[in-house]
Amino acid sequence: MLIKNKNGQTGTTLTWLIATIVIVVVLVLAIFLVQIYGGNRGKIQGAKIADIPAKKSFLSFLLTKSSDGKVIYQNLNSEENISKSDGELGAKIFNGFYKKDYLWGVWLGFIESGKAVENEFFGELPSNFAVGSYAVAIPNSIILEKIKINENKKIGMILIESGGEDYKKENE
Amino acid sequence: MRMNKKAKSKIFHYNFFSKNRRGEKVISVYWFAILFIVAAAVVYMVFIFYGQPYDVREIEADMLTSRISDCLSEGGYLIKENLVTDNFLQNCNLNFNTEDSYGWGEQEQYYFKAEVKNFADGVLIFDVAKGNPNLKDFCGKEDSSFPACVETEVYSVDKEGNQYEIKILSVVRKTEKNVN
Repeated sequence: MLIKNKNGQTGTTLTWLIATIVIVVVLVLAIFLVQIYGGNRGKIQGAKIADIPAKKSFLSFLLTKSSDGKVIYQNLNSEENISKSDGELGAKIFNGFYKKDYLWGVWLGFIESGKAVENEFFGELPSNFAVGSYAVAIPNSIILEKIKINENKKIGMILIESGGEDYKKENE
Repeated sequence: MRMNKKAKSKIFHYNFFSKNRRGEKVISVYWFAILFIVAAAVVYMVFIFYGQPYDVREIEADMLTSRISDCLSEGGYLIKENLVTDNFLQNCNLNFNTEDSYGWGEQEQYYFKAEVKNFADGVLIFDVAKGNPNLKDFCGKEDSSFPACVETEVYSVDKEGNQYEIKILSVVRKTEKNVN
């Protein structure tokens, strides 16, 4: 049956007209926001767990021959502390090559009973560090390489990349 | 016969489905149009968001550096047999092949340079460079559209007790696939 008077439909139509405009505006805004903020995802930068060149340098350092004909590894086994010549060579290699990439620090020295022993070439690690079986207790980019010297002693290289700045500030 | 309103509301009433439904047809078209517009907008937004690339060039350059260091130093000792410029890539099991898109077939997307120096006095003993040499000019410049560069040093020794410094620079371009 055709209805002559359609005034009742005006309200509904106007509602839908405004609703359509609102829907279109919200969609355009959403697309605009996604284009701005959903854009370039940037560089992938995961936490480093290994540094192959540094590991190779560490191994080569231990195989370096001293003036007495023995390699550094043998010297470390027989001596209680790192000798001056070996320590200075280590500082020249690791501070010279890797300090610019590892902003928090580079450390090399003995690890006894799970604790890093302070030395005059690299200083000491903060007491909160727990040099366990595979990692130090700071949840950031930390690379730890250890080689066993004898039953009680290991020689370790620790490279700390990031996040340590805040930790260092809190513990200074 | 007068219509019984109560009867008319019952679904099985013969007059429930009245003949004039033109207004509802117009509404249906409009509904489908709105649905389509919203669906298209959602698909477009998802496409924009998930279509953005990740930039993995620095990781790639890091891996290239590690492979070259593996080629030059093994077990703590310098591999002197690999200190030859010819066939260096083949000796190190490397190739710079890329897919032939974005014009990469004409322009190499990789470059590396390796130098072996005497650790004590810095005298150059060996150096090799392969790939597109123009890429190294962009190193040191901070811009995501420039190639990614990674430079590192490796300390090594030989069995005679000589000490060496190996400097490796790796550069990866592939901007079209890594940067929006």
